[in-house]
Amino acid sequence: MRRGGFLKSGRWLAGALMLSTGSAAAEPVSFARGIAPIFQRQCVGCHKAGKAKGKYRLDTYSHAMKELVAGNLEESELYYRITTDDEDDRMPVDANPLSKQEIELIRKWIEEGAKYDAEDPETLLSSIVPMEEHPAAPESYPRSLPVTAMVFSNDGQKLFTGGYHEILVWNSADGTLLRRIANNGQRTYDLALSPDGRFLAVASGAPGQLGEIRIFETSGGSVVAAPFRGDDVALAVAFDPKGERLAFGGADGMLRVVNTKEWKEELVVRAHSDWVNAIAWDSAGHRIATASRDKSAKVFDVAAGGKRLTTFSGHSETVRGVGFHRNGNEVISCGDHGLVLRWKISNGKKSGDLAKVGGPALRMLCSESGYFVAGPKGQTVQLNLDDQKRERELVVAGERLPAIGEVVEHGSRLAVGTFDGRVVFFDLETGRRVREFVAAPGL
Amino acid sequence: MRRRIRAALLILCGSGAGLGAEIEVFPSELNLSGARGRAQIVVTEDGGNQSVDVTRSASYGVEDPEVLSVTPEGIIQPKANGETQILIGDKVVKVKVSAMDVPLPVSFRHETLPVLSRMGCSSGSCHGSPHGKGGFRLSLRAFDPVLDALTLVREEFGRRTNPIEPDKSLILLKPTTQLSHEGGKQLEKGSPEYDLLRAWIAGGAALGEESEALCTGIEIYPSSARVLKFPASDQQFAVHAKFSDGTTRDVTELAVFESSSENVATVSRTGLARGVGRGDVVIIVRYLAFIESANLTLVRDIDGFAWSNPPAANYLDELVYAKLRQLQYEAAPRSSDRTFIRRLYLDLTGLLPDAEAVQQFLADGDPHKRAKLIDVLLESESHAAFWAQKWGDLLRVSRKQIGLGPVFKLSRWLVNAVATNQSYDDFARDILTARGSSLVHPAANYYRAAGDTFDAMETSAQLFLGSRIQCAKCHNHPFERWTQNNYYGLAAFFNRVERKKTGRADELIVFASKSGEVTHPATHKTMKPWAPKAGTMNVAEGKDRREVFAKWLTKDDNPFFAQVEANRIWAHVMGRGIVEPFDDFRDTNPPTNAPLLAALAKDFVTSGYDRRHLLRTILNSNTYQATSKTTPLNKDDQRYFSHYQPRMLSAEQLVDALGSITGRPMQFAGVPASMKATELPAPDLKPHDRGKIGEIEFMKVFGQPERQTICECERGDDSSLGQALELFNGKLMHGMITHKEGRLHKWIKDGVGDDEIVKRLYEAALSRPPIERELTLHREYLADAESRNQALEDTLWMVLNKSEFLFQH
Repeated sequence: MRRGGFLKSGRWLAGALMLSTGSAAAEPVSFARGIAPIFQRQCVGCHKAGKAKGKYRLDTYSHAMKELVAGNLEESELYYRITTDDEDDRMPVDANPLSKQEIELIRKWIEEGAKYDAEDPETLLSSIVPMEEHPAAPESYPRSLPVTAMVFSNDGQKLFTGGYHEILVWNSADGTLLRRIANNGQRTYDLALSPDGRFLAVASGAPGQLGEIRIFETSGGSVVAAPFRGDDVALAVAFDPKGERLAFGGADGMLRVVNTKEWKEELVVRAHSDWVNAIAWDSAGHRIATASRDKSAKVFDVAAGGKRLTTFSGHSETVRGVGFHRNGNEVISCGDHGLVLRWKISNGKKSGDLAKVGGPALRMLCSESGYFVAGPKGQTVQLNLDDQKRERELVVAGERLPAIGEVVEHGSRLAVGTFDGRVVFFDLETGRRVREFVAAPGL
Repeated sequence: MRRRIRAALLILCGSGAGLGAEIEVFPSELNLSGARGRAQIVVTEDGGNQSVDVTRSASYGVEDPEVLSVTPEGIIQPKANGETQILIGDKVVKVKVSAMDVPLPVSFRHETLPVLSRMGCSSGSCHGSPHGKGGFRLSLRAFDPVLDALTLVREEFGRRTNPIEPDKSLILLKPTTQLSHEGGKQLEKGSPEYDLLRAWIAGGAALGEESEALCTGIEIYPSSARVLKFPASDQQFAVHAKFSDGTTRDVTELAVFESSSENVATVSRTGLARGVGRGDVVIIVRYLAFIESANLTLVRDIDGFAWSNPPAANYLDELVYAKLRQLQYEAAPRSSDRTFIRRLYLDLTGLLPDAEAVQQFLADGDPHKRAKLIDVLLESESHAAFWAQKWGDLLRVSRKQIGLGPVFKLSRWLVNAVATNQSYDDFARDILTARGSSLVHPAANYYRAAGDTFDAMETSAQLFLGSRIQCAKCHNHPFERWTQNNYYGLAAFFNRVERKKTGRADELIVFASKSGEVTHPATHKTMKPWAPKAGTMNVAEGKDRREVFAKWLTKDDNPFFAQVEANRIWAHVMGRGIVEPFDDFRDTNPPTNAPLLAALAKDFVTSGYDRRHLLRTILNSNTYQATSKTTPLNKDDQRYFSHYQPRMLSAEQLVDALGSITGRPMQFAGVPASMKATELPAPDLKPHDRGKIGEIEFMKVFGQPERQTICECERGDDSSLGQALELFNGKLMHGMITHKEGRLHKWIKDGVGDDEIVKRLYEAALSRPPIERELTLHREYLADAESRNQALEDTLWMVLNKSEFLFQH
């Protein structure tokens, strides 16, 4: 159980307020606000779809109720398990028991009838727990954070990077910090700007605990929507070329698409058996390519309801980056084995070995200037847009194990984010490094 | 000022090391560096035959308490830079503390990784397994720091460490179960391990400078064997690590402790060994890739024990008795003549003695008759065949491995080796350096069964060095000092062995080529031939490297070679090796009587590796000839040879015994009808008949090995339901018992009376006549019977199902 950090977060405020009035039994306990967060945090890790210890799930209300009897504590196996002294029976297994407040809240809720106050009892708890009010970012960072997400503003003058519980907005010409957008997940894994620049979509999360897609209104920085919440990180987010839809995926292996009018879900596809690492739309906005930790890359037809068009299994390791070829018939992908491959959508067969980068290729960027693949030794390999021939390497110097967390491009500039927290700019015409700065306030 | 403090502290000294008792304090001086530089003191009181660990009852007087303090458990906690002394009785520990003003960065290699090992994170059953757990994979016990660094700091975009809020790192949240962790609670928030990991993350999760001094080895204290007597059965250990810059650091809190035998002593995370029961135990300590161990013997005064001072027949008995006396187990007296002759026959020839032989032996008045019988049996053909069969098991002599023709040739070769008492070093050399056609030179089949370099090396290591080195193929050996480098270095002796097939069936030409190297799979370095204790060796160009290996192996001072075979021979007749299993010699699996093993080995070498001599020595000892009947004072002993331990007849012995008693010996395919099971050259002479699936093979049920591996564990020694069923109503038993041409029915036809039949059955199966009560029971059964024939068959069945028959004892 997290005690210290918990108290600092705003999230506990809601719970605390509730408890302070709770004992007078004036307000009934809310499942969504009071109980679901406890289950989500303490239980769902071992009791969810796909991993249900003791064949018991706690990730939805209807599943949880299988071991609960409304109004009857004695018959509620769940209550027995969280309160028993018997070490072999007590839940959570092999860990500290739930706190007195948590047990008290659950007790009260059962006695009050174990009611459900959200819409659908089959919904995953992660979707009904209240939206996080994330803690404030530190005023100044004690250490730099790996740069794992970046996006240029549409006019190229600003660069957004993922910070610690915030998005940082930098002047891309001189590297000065312009703005700090608060109320974000702990770490940011992908950033996307809508084509009209109004919305900033953020894939974020706290590893092993929480994952989120949040939509910020770019100019004001307020949270407009949170179309996804899960129990592990969200890793990839992308607007379609017209800005009508937003696709995203992450640690749960699902591909989801929402419309950008109301941010409501249009499509959910069980895309992969492991994390979805990267997502790319084709130029018409009809198809999506995904790269996954399950070592495959796939193409789905969004227009046809998310039907899977092809699976490419030619990667023998985690696939990290993916992008459509200009011709629309092939896809280029890269992964942990360090190979950049091209393959056909029609039959899922490899059509070209494009490059070897000598170690994991963690990111791939498809832009008007070409394909850029982040290699393991601080090098970004540039491949020609038409024939994918290797054109040059842009190398980031410094640190003993240089590694790249993100690559983005605007016009004639390439920005490379490193694991040691720097953003390095390259001029694509000369191939020279032109500027770099540490993307952390206070450093 | 200091003097006054010192005086005050001395006055305050209350309990502790008794006045007048001689104490020893370790270490005598120390340099401590930084706030994490804690160190363990060990205080020992000399108790005569035993030592008494008084670390936790001693009083520690600190001259300058500003510099450091000492906990009641004897752990020094540095507080400020300076020099001072710790006073314990009349002994002094000089301590110098430095580097307290600036926080020392946590060393990834020397602190972070050891903590993860200590917590068990990188063990083979958790994240150190080949695929890790939950997507998180560490190298087994941190043998690959570079890989671990990348995994911890980089993998999945730095998922595991949080540089801004270190307490929120996944690597801390999970083992403290703040997030669900299938591995359970392995870390306590606020513990030294937690604080160290947190400090490492907060300091930037640095991987260390290239110039960092590296650990070159560790020492455990106390390292020399100690005897502890209950109730003073605790022993605190301390571990020091030496570094390449000449410094020494106490790493007791970073090392991993293990006990080789938890029912003798347990050892805590803090290095405190606590006695549980009598016996020998090895305390193993690991730090980084280094393993060291220390031996403890725990003794206790046993009520009613008085050493009976039995006579020793030879040096062997003296050494066994010394151990028994120390541990206070009673030595069992000699067995009866009847027991002895049956046991000896089974051990030396695999066969039961017939009734006449037993009678003769009993009637013989010669006081040396046992020794004479031993000599006679050692020279017998059955002995050569039966003991050749044991080597057949080890050398994988089977149709599947080497072909039918070679099976017979190699088997004859082995029989000859035993019959002529070929010296063991010649024997080993013949096998290891065998060359030529496998049809002409039977020993060359060794390299057929061991079909490639690594198989040949692993086989040779297991058979001749008693070491299961296989684990070190992919990582450093988890239980032993073998490293991966050692594995590939040893393999370099065997990689030039070439095997060529010819047109002839089952023929393989084995020869040594003049070129070829072994390369390390990860570093791609060429590995020079390496042998334990000798190190890397230079082999002259053109010389057969196997000869160099064989020469090294059979040198008189090679500690492994003689011990392994001496132990194996001991195990064959005693039922249990001094090191058990007998092909698993390692520091963490010590001999139960080290002086005994050493003496046997020395005798073996001095005799010129004469196996018959060694066998003779063992068989003539009172230890071998002891009865298997136990008393309360030795029935708990399973390891120290206080009495003979009964064991079930092996599959071959059982089949031959059944055959000789019933007069219907089992017939084997492909060999003369008269060949016994204990002479069989291989278990698979008949090719597997798919049509007869379901026909239970009697010998397999009783543990006959398939000879597809060299492990001694291939011979099953567990009892099983299948065995019980075979004995109760199996086809083989039934056939043997009821056959009209069997001995029983022949006796019936010859008009032999009931009593006489019963007597003959007992003599044949148990080497003794029935006692009055047994005879009465049998008479009653036979009198009641409707069919005499059937009742007699039942009687035979009864005798064959007696434990006394099924076991040698």
